[in-house]
Amino acid sequence: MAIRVNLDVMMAKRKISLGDLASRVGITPANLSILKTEKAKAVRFGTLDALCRELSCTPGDILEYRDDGERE
Amino acid sequence: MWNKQKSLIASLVMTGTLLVLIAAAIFLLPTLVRAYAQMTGIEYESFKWLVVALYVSALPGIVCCVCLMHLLLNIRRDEVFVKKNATLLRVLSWCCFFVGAEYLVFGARWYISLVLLAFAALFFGLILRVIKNVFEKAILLQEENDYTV
Repeated sequence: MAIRVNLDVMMAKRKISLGDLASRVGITPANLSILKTEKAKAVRFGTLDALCRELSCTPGDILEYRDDGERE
Repeated sequence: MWNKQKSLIASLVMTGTLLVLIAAAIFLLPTLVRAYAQMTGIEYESFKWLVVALYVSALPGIVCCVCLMHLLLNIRRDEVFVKKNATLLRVLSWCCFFVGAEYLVFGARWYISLVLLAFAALFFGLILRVIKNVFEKAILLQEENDYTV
């Protein structure tokens, strides 16, 4: 998949840990880790909304389309 | 009050009971057939291939009971749409196909009434195969759901 998740970059910029962000967003650390490690197959708008709110960013800061020729 | 948990336990108990009955039948079959032969006045020798057919189908019967127990225990652990359950359903369907084929052979040669049982077993194997296909689709949907954040 060409969608890249730059959640770790935003978390480092805002100096927030995985567990902390997960509890603020309202999902489990395991679920957030699935997103961070690009294993997620779908993201709910509600989750994306909460992430952007807590990280004070836009969806484009977290999700990036980078077509490097890899296909699933 | 009846609920899903009690229903699951009832299914486990019934499966366990069936397993015990099959195990008992393995030991008691010749005695039971001999008693039936005496009761009906038919020679025991006429039933010898029926006894063989029943013994051959006892092993898939035991395998089916064990698979059903595993399936029910997985469901009890909330592991429903998982690959191992699809495998168990596949094994169940193949056991039914084996018994169906076996009864067709014995029925065609010696006991025509076994042919009816054969078709019932083959049909049931087919139903289980379709259920397995449904489970495989459900597993994909479950995975999609599990990886939705």
